[in-house]
Amino acid sequence: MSKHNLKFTSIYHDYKQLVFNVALHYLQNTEDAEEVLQDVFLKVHQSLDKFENNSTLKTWIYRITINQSLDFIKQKNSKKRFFIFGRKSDSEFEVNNISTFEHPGILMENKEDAKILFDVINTLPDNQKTAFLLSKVDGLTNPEVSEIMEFSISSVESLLFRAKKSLQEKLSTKFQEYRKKK
Amino acid sequence: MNEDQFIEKILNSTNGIQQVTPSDAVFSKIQSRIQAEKPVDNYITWLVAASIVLLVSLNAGILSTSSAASNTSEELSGLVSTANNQLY
Repeated sequence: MSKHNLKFTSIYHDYKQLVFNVALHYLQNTEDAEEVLQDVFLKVHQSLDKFENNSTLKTWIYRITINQSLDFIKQKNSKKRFFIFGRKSDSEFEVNNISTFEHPGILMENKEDAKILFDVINTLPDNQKTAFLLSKVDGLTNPEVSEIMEFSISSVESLLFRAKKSLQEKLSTKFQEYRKKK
Repeated sequence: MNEDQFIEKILNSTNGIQQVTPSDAVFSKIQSRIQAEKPVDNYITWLVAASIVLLVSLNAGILSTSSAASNTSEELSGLVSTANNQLY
């Protein structure tokens, strides 16, 4: 096995879980997340020689994963739009994808609540969604999020503030529905 | 449960989330995709180029040999024709 392949294999084993989980948070579908996992490591393999140590390997892999996941969602939505003659909606992904998904890493007692959370996360704009997922779900610090997103720390804080505000508003609507059901 | 509690409960539902491991089959899928997308080796490119050069030079060699042979037979037939087919 060549030196390049050995390095690649070691990177795969070190980062497969990180990539898979980030993709899973975006896509909320195990098969789709595995497809993105393949795409990400194919890109890593192709660009490994060109990787300049301007950022850490982890940051670089995070960026590739986020971009691949967002591209995957766009592609999936455009395919669906094609089949249903141009229906457009900001929350298409939410409508089509989330209702049946159960995140395998969520604690059993939180599964129903997490479904609602991912449901509303999917309605956020991409930047807010990324900031929220990295900070709240992946548990990264604001400086880490700012490095990955290539934004200033204050921009990340602002994104997180807007994301939480928007989620609270949407969850407030969900609460009204929840009360009606009770 | 009031609204604030409901919102807080939902927002905290990812607390204690556990890392999920992808299936082992994914790595072999990645490897086969790498193989499929692998560009042709330099060695193979040179081998193909050398084979083409060899083939062209062999053809050229055969053509020049056969044209030389046809020249000789033309000379012989010329000799025969100048003799008006008279053998003696």
